[in-house]
Amino acid sequence: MQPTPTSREGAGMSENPDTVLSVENLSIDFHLRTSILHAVRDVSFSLKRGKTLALVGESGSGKSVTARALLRIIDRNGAISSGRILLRGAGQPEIDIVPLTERSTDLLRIRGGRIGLIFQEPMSSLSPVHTIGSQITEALRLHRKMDKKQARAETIELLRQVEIPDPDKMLDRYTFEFSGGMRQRAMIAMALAADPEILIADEPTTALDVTTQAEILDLIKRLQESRGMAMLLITHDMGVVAEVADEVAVMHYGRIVERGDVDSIFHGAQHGYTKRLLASTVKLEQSRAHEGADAAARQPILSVRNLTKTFGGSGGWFGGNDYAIKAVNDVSFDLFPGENLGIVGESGSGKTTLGRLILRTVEPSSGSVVYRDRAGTETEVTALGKRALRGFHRDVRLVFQDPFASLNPRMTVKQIVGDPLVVGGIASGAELDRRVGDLLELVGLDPMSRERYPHAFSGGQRQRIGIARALALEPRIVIADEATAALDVSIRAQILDLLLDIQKRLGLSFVFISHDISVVRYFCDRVAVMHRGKVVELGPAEQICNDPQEPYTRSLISAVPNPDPRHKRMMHRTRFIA
Amino acid sequence: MLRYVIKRVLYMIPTLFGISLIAFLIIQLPPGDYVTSMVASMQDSGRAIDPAEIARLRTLYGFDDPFYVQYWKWMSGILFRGDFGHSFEWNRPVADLIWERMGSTLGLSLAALLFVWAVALPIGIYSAVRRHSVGDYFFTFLGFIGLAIPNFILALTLMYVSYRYLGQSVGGLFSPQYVDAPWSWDKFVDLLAHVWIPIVVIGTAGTAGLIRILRANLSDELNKPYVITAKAKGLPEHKVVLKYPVRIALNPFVSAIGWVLPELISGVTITAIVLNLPTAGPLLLRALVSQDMYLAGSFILLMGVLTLIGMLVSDILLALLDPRIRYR
Amino acid sequence: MRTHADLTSPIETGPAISPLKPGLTMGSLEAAGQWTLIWHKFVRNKLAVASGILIVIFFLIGLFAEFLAPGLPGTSRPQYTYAPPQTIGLFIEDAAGNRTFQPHVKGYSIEIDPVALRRTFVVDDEAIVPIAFFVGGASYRMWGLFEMDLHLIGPVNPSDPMYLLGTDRLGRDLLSRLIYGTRVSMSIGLIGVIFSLCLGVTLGSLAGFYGGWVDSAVQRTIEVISSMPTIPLWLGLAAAIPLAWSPLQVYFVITLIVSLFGWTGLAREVRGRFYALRGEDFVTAARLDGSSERRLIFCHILPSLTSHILAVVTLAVPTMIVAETALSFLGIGLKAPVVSWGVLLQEAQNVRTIATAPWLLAWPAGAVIVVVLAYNFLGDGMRDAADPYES
Repeated sequence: MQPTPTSREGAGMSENPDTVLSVENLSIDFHLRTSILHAVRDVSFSLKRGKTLALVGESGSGKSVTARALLRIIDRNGAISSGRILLRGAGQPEIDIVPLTERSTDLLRIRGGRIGLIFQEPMSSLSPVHTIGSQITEALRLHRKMDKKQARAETIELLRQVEIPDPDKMLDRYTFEFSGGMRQRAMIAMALAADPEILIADEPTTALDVTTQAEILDLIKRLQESRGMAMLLITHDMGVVAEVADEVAVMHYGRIVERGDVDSIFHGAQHGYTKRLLASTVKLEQSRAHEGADAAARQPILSVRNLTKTFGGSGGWFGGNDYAIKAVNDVSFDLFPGENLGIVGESGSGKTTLGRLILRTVEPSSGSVVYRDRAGTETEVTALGKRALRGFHRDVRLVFQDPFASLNPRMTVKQIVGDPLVVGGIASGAELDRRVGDLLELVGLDPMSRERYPHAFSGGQRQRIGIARALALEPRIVIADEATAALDVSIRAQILDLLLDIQKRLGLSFVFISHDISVVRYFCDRVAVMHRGKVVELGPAEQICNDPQEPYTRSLISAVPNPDPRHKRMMHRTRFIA
Repeated sequence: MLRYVIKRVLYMIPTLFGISLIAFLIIQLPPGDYVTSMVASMQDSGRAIDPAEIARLRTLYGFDDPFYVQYWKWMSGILFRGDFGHSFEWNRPVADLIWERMGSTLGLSLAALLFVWAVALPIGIYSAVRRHSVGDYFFTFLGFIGLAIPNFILALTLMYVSYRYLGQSVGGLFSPQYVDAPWSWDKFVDLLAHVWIPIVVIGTAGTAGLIRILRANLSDELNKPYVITAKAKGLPEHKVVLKYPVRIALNPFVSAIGWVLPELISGVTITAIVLNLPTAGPLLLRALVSQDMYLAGSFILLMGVLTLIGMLVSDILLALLDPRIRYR
Repeated sequence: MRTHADLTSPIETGPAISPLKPGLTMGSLEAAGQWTLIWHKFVRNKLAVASGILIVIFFLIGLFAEFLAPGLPGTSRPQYTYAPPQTIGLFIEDAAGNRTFQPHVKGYSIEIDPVALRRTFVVDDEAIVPIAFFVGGASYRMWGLFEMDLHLIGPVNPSDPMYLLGTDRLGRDLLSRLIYGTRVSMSIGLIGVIFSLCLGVTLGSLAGFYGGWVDSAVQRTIEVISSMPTIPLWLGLAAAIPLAWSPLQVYFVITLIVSLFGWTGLAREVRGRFYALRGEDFVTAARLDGSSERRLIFCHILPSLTSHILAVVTLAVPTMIVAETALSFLGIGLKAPVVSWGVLLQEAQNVRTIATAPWLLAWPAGAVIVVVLAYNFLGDGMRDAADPYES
């Protein structure tokens, strides 16, 4: 679709026969204890038959609230303060959803009947104590007035449509017996049960692995097309938007700052915020100019050989597991000085365990980790005693994923960052003060803020504090475990640049554990791809991302959505059948 | 499921052992033993005692054996012969004395449990769904009062009220004329007229506690995404609440047997003493005061076992209710 | 199809918020430590604050019992058995109708019921007993240290009857006994909970921190103890106290018994939180920073626990108070001459006594209930405020 200046928002728009729902000047307020939060302000958009509108924004932008308002499902302390939500269908009178009362049959008929909803967390969105089948059947009996037998048959048919194998058996299973992707499929089946005209997908793939995400997006797209539904897709991921959406509305702190079709947003963004958002996304899509750590010429700083960790298997005389899981299976790699090594894998691939094994916060079952210290002496880390391990932990530091859980809320920034210095007896008094100030400056925080507590900082700032703590002991290796996963995309890019900057200044090596291929591509020199505990492929980042050799890597890379609607990647991806 | 039950039963064994140990400890705790106190009382009354007779009694009851031998004698008697020892005060086997009393204790506890459930369920749901309404505050306030009043004070108060204003004779489970009468409709009605006081007294604290738990749990569950899913499906609110969150918030309700039952049995004990009911309580107190230790120890052991069984039942019910536990 | 009017608007830096009350800034809390935040959260709960104040008042009453009580707890006057409570009047009217300010209570006259042959007390409007603050009365040793005879309130003439809450079977002043009982009952709750705290925190943190067999052993013990119905067990243990022991010994043993079963809940709470905290990222971080186990426990884990422990401890106190009361009520806890609320309630054991002298039930029971309620409200408030960081 090309930008057509004639179809401007307003009266002309609502006459478009394809429009099934239009939102006009919607505002939503939340009453907090001491203030009113204007979560959604003056938002207007419309959904058209067979088309997908993506509502994009970072956390706190009000996109989810907007979506739920269409079904009038808002938390108790929130309320629609103004605006209209007009729903029109073929041969039916136009309904404004806003003034409907909570008990009105119109509203109940719309919920699930005319508008279906899919959530982010398929686990918690399905009842844990009812079978999948009974939850879907319920919707069928409610909206399509089927009897039990019909509903059951129809449920099996729906499960088949969402490509759940053995639908007649899976029907009687419970939520916890399904995998994440399967749950989301079941959720989709439920949303589609009453054949709605509109589907709202609220971050439908955020909790899923990238390959599963590709499959689910595929499925949603196909079902949408075959049924001619209008879809409202809520997401923070510009890649997903580019792959799926026809139109885009960018939300920022409760306002839609820019709206247009997908191509014009991605290739001709006007608003400053959209530009910034795209810039940080696209930046991560390109590899950085690597200085090219000349690997072969140097001694590795860390050598991991045949590292294995087995969980379970040796349970008690009752209640133990009958089988053992090899979380990390025979992993070997070298880390060279000044190098960034990426460890990439989906959930359950063992990447986090690998990081913990190197630090020995989890004890390895077998294998060796050899560390070469400043003097060139080699130490076998797996054989270190408590005291010697402490020395190793000075040189090899960890940056955590969760910027909230990894900082003790009861300590000031100075105490947190200075703790390793105090414990090691390295600095105290004025010297400690100075060192902490320097560290904070290094990570781009105001040294004057050291007497504050973590709750006074935002997520990105907290991650900076965590990095300062890791740097306090002048380490040589930093293991970053999903260090940017919890951050919004614009902040993610900032943190990555900070890490690169620090690396340049201090000559660090990074082991960068991540599920996010684009982050790894941007940050790392070499990448190890993990799958089911094993490293399936290890090579330069460029080669892994552009010319993967192993089938698993190929399917993984091709499943990553590309934030450019002109080059959709996912739709012709390769599939990996294990 | 069977596997789970077996596992759970096996799990009970160490706990049972611990309970029996505590009960036996209580038997052993008082300084001296029955023979010494008998000797003392006989000397008081000026009778001479044959030292040989004392020695004979001591060996007969095994008072000179080491602790573990005495424990083993007692336990093996219970386990293999159903012999709980000898009540010195009543001069009868303990087993003759306890069963009827334990039966009425169990009966009263179960009745109280049903009362607790019947009252707590609707109020808990109401309070959670209509949070911060006038009704909610009213019940919350009542709940606090219920938690704060110790059983025996409530029993005394109710006794006074019904004596003063209803003119009813309180105490016991029956009016005097029915105590030894065969079962009849009139006797049953008389029982009902008496039994409400102990049930209310025993059940109040548990009810209040359970309402609080249900309210807290249900309020949490009401904000879970699956509730929104159910709403988004188009179910009317009462159906949403009853089918999904209440179903899950029922779990603590069932598992409440585990902690409410010991409380109830505790409550029955002291309430029975105040209201003079023919349950284990008064007999236990009397046995303790007169140091009839085998009788007392047996009561304590059986009460412990009773709560353990209650916990087992609650765990099994919970597994039936919640597939996540069943399939683990 | 680009459709937004205001593409040139600047990028906003924060969500739109309009404050409900002006002048409230969050800035002051940025440098606030956990106790400041907890305090801010706690004082918002007015009920909890009021309860806290009430409990402090009760402790003060216990502390200054000798001075506050109009008489001694053991003084009995057989001529005033079961005398009903008196009310305080402020003005006296003389024969000419002149009102003069003189706080007083009315004396009693005794009538013999000719049928039942029982004595009943009738308030005698003629017998004016003038009362005053800071009067001399029965002498006592303040805190066992020095001799005093000053009382906060009392009859001007020490031999006049002043029984504001009535008397008991032996004609002892209920108000004085209640005040002395406050000292014993409140302190049993406090000391018992300190015993529990030591036991519970030690075992709970050992179990939670080390896990493994230590954890299993502690868990099992807790399970055994908490599956026993408490009252029969208390009875069993209390009955074993030799009759010959001194009141002070009995007092401590009873406290011990009461606390022996209170520690399980505490230990469970501490264990659970320890267990959860041990897996927290910030604890792992501290471990990687080189902290020893000891430093980990004392500098990182315990500070996060303290507020929760305080809340649980507060909620455990009422159990102890009720336990003591119940035991004493049944006659196997504290015994005369010690006075506690439970000992007072023992006087009200049967319906006939309560019918004759309802005040014997009402006042001690009221004191127990009020204190238990206050502790519950206070504990709830503390629990809600214990974690100021949750959203």
